[in-house]
Amino acid sequence: MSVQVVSNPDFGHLEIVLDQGQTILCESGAMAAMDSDLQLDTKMMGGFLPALWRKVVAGESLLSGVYTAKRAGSRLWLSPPIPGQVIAYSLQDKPLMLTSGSFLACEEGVQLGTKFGGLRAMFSGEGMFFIEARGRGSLWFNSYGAVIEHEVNGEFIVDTGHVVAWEPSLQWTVTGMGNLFSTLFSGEGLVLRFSGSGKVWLQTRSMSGLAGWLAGYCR
Amino acid sequence: MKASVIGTDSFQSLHVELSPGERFYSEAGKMVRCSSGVDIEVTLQKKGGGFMGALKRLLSSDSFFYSRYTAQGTGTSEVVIAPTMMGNVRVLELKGDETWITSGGSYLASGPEITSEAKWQGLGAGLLSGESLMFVHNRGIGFLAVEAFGTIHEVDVNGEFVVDTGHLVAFESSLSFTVGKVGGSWIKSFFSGEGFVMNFKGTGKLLMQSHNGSSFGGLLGPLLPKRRS
Repeated sequence: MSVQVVSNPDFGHLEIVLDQGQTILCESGAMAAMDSDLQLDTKMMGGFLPALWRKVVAGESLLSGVYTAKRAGSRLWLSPPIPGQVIAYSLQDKPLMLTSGSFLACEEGVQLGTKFGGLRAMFSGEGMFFIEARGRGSLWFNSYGAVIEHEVNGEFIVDTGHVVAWEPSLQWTVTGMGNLFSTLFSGEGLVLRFSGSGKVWLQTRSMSGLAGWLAGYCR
Repeated sequence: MKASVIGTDSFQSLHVELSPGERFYSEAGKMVRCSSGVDIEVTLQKKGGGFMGALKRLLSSDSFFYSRYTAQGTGTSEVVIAPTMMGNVRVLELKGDETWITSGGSYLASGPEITSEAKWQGLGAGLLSGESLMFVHNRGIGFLAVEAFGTIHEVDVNGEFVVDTGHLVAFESSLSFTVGKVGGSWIKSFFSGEGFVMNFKGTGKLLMQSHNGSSFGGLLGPLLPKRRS
């Protein structure tokens, strides 16, 4: 299998060539183009019941597409919906947490599950569920804007809209900045509060920031 | 006349140099700058099109009007045309023996001898795919410039190839296509998030874009306030 991240940092996406029998999993809807003999299956992250629960509660199904090559040299292009950077990550038994829009693709050895972000996350507008990747294999995630990798030691606070991924060796909670009043009116929305040691990946722009700015011009 | 691409990868534009008397067309409203000797007219008429042609163009997600730029004066004139989305511009040099079909809104500009005709792409294809009902067929001798969201990839199709409807920019008419499902069944196709794709067949070149405007818009839209009716 050859997977190239191309067009970083502005339009990062994946150019993939699969050998016979090889499989790649991707975010639902990420396929941009492919050779016509690739076989498609779908998988619900974490199984049927969790997927149903997510659909009912959050309207997010978090399905993934599974593409399998029937012959060597099958080509596949996978793109995130948002312009930005794509990061390749090698998962080695230590799990990785991703915000729901950040997952792009992974190899078969990676298992994807979901974690409920808590009731506060329901109001964050960034999705209520986080994706937990476990196992071994390559994983690719995407951002809006550039990605900053940050090594946390101690406490660290990030706006939920700017979080891309983190290592769950860190403790994390979704909270507001201060009380409910300031959560609603400060414009800071919700934050992920990390403590301990581990890595966090941030994105330099947020979709809600763009939408908020555009909203001022909507009539 | 010389048409070239300028700017950085993420924000490319089209630069056209005109000698006195030369002219070209672009989709209306796309001009950034031009020399003072350039005469700009808005027109429905382009070679091989009239009012009906313009109506059909609307159904192809392209503009109803064209802008026509004619160089007056004595020296070389310049015109710069910018696309709507951030991303690549590609200039194709047509030699007269091929037709390039541009999909939903990818037509940017063309030389004076290029005819651009919106054609019905087939009922099933248009309604089902979420793409426009018409594709624009461009032929003749001269340049054709297309715009894209993200990076443009050129693919040499030989046999069969699948492109998501939102990632198609343009293709040669030697390729035929059907709109359909990807994978084994309609159910799989829908659950995978890949509602409809275009199955290409034959031999020819195809241009695709790395990003999909509908996907980006689909994420952004729900975050915006409701439109007042």
